Amino acid sequence: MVLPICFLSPRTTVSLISFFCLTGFLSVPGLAKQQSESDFFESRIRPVLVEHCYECHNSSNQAEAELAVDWRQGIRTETEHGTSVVPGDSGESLLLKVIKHEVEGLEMPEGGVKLEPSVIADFEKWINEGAFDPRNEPPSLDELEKATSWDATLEARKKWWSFQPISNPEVPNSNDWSDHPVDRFVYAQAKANQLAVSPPAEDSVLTRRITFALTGLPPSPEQLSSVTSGELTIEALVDQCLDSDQYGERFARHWMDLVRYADSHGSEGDPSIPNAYQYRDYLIRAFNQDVPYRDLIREHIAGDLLPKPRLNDELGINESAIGPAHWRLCFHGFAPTDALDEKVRFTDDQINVFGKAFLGLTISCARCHDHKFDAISQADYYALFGVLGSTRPAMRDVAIDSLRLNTKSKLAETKEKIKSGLVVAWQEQVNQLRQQFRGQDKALKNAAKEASAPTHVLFLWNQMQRHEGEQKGWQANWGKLKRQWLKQKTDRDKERRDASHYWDLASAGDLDKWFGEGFDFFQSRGPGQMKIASAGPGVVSSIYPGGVFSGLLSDRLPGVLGSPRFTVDEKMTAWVRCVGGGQATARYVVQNYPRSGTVYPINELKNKNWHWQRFNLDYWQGDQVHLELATAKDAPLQVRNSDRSWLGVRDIVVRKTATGSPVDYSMEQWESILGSDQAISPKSLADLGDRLCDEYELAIQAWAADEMSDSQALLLDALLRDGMLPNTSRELPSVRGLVSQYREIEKELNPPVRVPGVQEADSFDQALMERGDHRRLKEPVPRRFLEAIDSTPYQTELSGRMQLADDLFRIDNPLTSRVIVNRIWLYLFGNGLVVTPDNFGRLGAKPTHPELLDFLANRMIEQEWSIKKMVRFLVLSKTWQQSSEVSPESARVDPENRWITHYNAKRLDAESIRDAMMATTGQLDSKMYGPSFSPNSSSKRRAVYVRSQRNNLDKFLAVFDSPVPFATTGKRNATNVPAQSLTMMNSPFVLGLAKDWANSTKTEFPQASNQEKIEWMFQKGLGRPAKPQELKMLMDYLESTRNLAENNQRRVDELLKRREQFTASLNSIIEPVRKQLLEAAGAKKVASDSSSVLYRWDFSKGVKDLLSGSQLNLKSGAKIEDGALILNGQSFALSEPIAERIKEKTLEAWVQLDGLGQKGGGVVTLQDLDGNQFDSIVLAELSDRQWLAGSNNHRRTLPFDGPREESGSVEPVHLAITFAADGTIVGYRNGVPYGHPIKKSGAAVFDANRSRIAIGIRHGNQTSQGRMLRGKVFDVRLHKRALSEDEIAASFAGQPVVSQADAIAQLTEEDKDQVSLLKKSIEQTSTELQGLKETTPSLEPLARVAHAIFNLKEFIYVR
Amino acid sequence: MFDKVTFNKSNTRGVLTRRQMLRQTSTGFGLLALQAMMSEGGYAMPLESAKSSGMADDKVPVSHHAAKAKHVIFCYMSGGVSHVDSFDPKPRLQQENGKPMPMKVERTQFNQNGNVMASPFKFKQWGESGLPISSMFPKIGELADELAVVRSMTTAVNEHAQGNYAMHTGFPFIGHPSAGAWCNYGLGTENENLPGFVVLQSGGAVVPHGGVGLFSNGFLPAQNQGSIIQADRSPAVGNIRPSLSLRDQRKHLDLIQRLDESYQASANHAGVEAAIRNYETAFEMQTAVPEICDLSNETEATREMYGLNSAESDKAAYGRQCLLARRLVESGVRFIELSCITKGIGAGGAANPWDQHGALEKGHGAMANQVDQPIAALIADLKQRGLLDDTLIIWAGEFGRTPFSQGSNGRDHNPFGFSVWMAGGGVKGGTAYGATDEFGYHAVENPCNVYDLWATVLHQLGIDHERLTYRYAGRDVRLTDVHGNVLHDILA
Repeated sequence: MVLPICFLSPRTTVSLISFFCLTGFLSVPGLAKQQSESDFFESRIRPVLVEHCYECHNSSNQAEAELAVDWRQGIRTETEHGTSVVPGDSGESLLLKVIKHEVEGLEMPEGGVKLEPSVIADFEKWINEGAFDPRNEPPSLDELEKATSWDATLEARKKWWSFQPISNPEVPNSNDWSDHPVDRFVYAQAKANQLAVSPPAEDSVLTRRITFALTGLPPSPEQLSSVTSGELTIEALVDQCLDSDQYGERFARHWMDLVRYADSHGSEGDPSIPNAYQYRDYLIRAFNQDVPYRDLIREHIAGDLLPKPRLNDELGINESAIGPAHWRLCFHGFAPTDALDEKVRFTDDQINVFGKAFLGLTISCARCHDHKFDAISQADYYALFGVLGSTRPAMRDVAIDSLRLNTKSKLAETKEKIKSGLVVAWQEQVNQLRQQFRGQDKALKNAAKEASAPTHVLFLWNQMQRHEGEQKGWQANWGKLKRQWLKQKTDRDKERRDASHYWDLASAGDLDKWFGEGFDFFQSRGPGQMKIASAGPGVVSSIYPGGVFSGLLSDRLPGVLGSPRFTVDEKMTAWVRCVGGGQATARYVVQNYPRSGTVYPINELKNKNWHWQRFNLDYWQGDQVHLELATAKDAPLQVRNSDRSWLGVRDIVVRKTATGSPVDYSMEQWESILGSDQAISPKSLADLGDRLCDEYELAIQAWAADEMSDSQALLLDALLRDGMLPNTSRELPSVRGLVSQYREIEKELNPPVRVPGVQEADSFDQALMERGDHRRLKEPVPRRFLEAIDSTPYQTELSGRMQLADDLFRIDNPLTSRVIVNRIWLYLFGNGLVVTPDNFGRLGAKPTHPELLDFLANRMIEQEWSIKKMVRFLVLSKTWQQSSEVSPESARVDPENRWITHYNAKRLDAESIRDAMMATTGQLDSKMYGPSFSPNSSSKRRAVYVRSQRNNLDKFLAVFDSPVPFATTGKRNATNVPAQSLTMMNSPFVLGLAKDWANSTKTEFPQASNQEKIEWMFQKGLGRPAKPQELKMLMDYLESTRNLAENNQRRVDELLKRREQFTASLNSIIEPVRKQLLEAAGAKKVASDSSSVLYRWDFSKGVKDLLSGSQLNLKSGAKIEDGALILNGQSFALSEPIAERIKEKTLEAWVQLDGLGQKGGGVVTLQDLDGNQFDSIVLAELSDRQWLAGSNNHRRTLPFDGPREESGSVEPVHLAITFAADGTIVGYRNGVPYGHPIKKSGAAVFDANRSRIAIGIRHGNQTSQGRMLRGKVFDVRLHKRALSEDEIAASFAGQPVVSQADAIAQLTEEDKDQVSLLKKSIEQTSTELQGLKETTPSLEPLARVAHAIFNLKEFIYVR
Repeated sequence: MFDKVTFNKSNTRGVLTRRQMLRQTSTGFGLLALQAMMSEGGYAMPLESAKSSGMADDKVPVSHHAAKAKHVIFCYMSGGVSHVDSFDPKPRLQQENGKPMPMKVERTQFNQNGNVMASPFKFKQWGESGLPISSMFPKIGELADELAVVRSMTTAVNEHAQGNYAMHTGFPFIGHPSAGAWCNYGLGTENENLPGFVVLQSGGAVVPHGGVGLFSNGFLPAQNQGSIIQADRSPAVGNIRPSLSLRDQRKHLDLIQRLDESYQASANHAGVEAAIRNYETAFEMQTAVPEICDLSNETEATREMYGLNSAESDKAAYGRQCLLARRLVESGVRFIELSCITKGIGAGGAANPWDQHGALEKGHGAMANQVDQPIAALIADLKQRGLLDDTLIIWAGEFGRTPFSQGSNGRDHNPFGFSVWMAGGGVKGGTAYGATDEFGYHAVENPCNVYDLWATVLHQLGIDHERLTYRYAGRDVRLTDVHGNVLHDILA
């Protein structure tokens, strides 16, 4: 099913009464006032009616609401809503009301925008003056069709302002404000609107404005002070910014919005777009080098095809070839069953971005029908579709090939030498072989016994050996072998003739129809090509028959092969005869879809022997497919991470599936023995041996002379493969040095730099899709540009991208230059002269300053399309440098600041907010380029380098309106939502930066007073000194916070000390009694130990495990005191590795907590040695005070939803968690189930000797905030099975630890009173401590000031 | 203009005063300013003239006709529920079990198509209406007379992520606003301290394939975006936990506001004022969100009814979402989406729990068990509280499943015909609308699509789906694209 994106439903009976189908607007230049009624009608009224109303309201084929406005009587008809035109009375005329949008539900033109006020005024005047109308008769159908034809419509729509040639306006004479042309245009307009311009902004304000606008960063303190002191002029500051690397980062990000930059394709699986970041880096370099806009866009469209590309010798890359990467930043679905639908969708995505970004036109609105408002036909859409559809997604190697030529010739030379050496050595070896054959060498005979495969070099020997001495059998067998060979050969030849498609890539004629990428790769090679082994003792890895091969020079170089498109018109299977390794791949591609998936298999090439790769295409009947083979990193999308990869292809056959596997021509290498007419039977084995050696020798000779056959190449390769020839450096002293030399030279090759892109392929004209339905194909539309500019078809064998690039810059295309100057204006002023930067069509806005826009467009061209010059020109205008303060008059008359009588203050964009915080704290990492950093990370790099992962966009940036990479975003939103405030107030990221900033300030100015620190921070954060009252507010705040903090701290210290005293007193009463009880309970303890216990530590007995004697390692100050392991929030303990494999298990512990407010600490954990996989008893990780089964990435974690822990800080609690084999996890507290059981996935397996127990840490091997427990652990056990509820209850009942309550019960009444008093005191101190903790700042005073500055609106706005 | 706060327990005195001050200052410059701020988001403005004139307060609902419903609860069955095993009985499958499909089999995603597969579940007629529902959903069955089942739903795409996008936004790819965002955009919020579009998760539930873009505001103003609330975690929402004690934070914000005041005057920017105001809203959200998520004051009977006490953790977790959904409706949240929790059966992963390409009986049985009791409880609870009339519940996945098997015991995706249902909010209970063919393969009677579904939902909310538009990049875009017919036959 298609989902056409279009404007209007076909207006059917369902729709509201549609009155006039007015679909656009036609502007007509002003006429003299004294015109006749006739002139007025013809020039002002009739064209509007034709253009906007005739389609739905005519007297021939459609008169919606029974109204026909194409003749006099018709337009004066009475309708159910009133009379359309009442001559002389516009107030009574319904026509006027509906075009004024005064009648709800009858707003005309339907679905369009309201007509211009001047047009409405024309109609009003026309009616009031009698509605002169010369149209006595309704037009004939012919006349109507002519008037409303697409040609006529196109002509009318081409009159829209943005299609008009760029004028050459005169700069207004109004120079009493400024001589700058921009100022003179702006001033003239302001004056015409009786508005005054604003005074210039202060230098400090301007400095901040400039650095944010040009670099996206706040000014450095040095920049500020040198500007305010007059050392640095504003002009010099501008130049400094334009020259900085950060300028490119800023403008690249603007550009990335236009091309919906992303690092992944979205949808299920959200696969990476490999190396997309190379395109981002290309943009940054291009903007910094001020590559002319014209060149940049040409590169975007067809940078891979330019005859004179822009080369970057420093990086060894062809910059121009990176431009087309933007075509590939589109969204892709996952394994679509309708592949053509997917192709339409992603091509539409490309056209949409192309049209909006470069032309300011919504071309993709013409997919289903001619554009509803603009001069864009449906045919235009399919003309462009053909251009893009004629390319294929690809990975391009942009390394400069010419830099490889020298290395290539050195490699070739060395290879020749190696070959010569091999020829000599191998000929000698064949002589020896001959002797061995003659002598019926035993080893040889044995080897031949195993050689029953036809491809084995001893196959014939093997076949004949068993008939040795038989007169008849010998002859017959030879005859049989000959017939076998002949049958294979004949069958194969027939198969080729009968195939739906057959390509022999050793034939240049066949290869010409294919498409390839890769240095020194894409050519037909005759038999005898040799691949040198890239490493190891071997010298030659293969000798090939004819075909196409990557890796002949180096298997670091790319090799990509694509077949021509063909239609799967019946049940077909494609077979590719190939070799490959290093994770090279082969696949079929349906409708250019680059992803893999259920019905889009990819085969990895893992066989260095020739074999058939099979691709059953039955599923794809009716679709167009092509075959694609690629080295590991060079597939368009499904790349593998292997630096060395190679492949070779001989031929491809596509056949009916029912015909089964291709012919097995495994005897090919015996052609010259079995295939020649002279090949009479050898007389004996010895004779055969001789004959074989003759063949071997011939093959080596032919190889040496570069004239071998496929069959000989296969035979020679078989000799090598079957170990009959020396092929190691050790055996071949003559080539040993050459091989290492070869490998050394190979390292010098300019390495591949891979970038997403497109590849030219078999170009074609796309058939128009009726109503946008890809199953309803009409006539093909020639590839060409928009007919509003030139409808001549492109004369090219290629896609037409080169022509398209040229058309963007032809002199009669006024859009390109207007669009870019408007964008630059928008980036600097916050609004465009055309406020809809991506839409210069009828639904977009008209320019506020059309002459200025044209002046700038001309200037852009004159200045060689330099973006930097245009930016400089604009920011040095007085207009841009105005203050943001607004006069009451402007606020009243022009609240939108159309006349630019002041600067528009604006919120920083998301990246600048993040970058500004980093810069302010002094932590900005200015490293440029390279792979993107992960979203939501605390990387200190600039935000332009964050990974744009479609399904996981950076949350901080997203909350501040960084765009969803979906379509061109010429102007960002600047929304205001509470989520922004929450982020700035509470996100750990911002809090962390505030702390960092306070700390760095203290470190940097250790001697400074608080006031000085605050002054400095204020200045750094906001780019201006604090005013006295501001300083006072901050100082007061700091002081009060600090006092509070200090007082709190004093009190906390005091309380802690007091609590310690109380506790000591308490213990002195209870502990002796408890010890006695413990000793008494000793015997019981051992008895209750179940046989399932694997480990058990009873800390009253020390740190040795009671069962195995395994020692615990105490870490970070952990210690044993009073029979408990003491954990202080830093300390923990680790066991030795556990000798058994553990799957089902029970963790058990007695613990008393030091406070209930802690979070995320582990009591006891079973973990692998690194602490990556673990199961743990955890406190309060997800919810306060709740116990949890902790696990790696919460794989086996869900809330138990048990009660909040209340008493664990007062007395020991018993905790146990059982892990059953099926993944069921049950928690227990004090012997009874805790919450409900959970199950998320199967039980984790901990391998023998690869795991250990950790106590006091959730997981890991070193102290780590948020994982540590504070408290005492008395007893820990690990069981090797999941205990039952009864067993846990028993274990709890046989408690090894005597609780305080038990001990207290034994005390005298007096002691009991004393204990209860002490406990009360402890409780009170604890309560107070808790309260104090809540009021003790989580941010220390100076960090709070830092945090407050981040949260000031002045920080995130620029004025 | 900010008086329509129904959930506002946490105001401290100081806050109120400051807010009041802000309100006063925002009637002059503020009104204009806010308008400018709203339009800054783009040259884009809603076409609705009523809306534009009411732009100063986005909370003013705009209705085109009398609304039947005020709230929507979207029970999203991610992964695709088999209609022939749940709400669309097909006796022919029983009769032809194991035989080849007697009609053309369309391309499937796995291309492992087997023969006709009988449903392992038994259908039964329920309630006065006799609406047939399978043994998968015994509790929902008891409420059959509340349900309007659409048996002829179709969708354009055959894979999860795009299916999810189509179902949520009307377009099978990233970038368009989610239905919840459209509803909020059209009607505004009833409670400024809570997001108007909430997505609930619990028990390890994750966002369906396609990612959070499914809940995006797209090009609509950002306040319409979906906020994910974790029903069983604290904090339930990212960055909602105050970084300072409330008392300290109040002091902190007071300082910030005082410092902001002079800047506000000099910058002359509406956004500055709005940003200042947002800090107040955010401050209150910090208490409003945890309060609404705290289920401790619900009665034991209620917890029991929703399955919160169930030993099956996934059911308990889903029950928690359902109960929280009711509380959110009570607090004026416009649109709530619930998320299923995977049982890891068949191919049903975290993002697509219902995706039983294999082990359909076991997987669908387990998934149905997870949601049956909680959803039934939600309907019953809303009803007993008188909230069902203005709360529209939608139950749907991204597609159905094939009537023939995949492998031995699974079913592949079927976009050509499947079932969704609605309850409450003015729908006609006990209804079955449309039909698939005898095998449940293709919709043959009254086929409809996601646009019809959302047109109907918007209709119940008092909105004409053809008139709820937003100008984006030169088009007046709708949730229903250029399609959509209100399914009047299922409305009361």
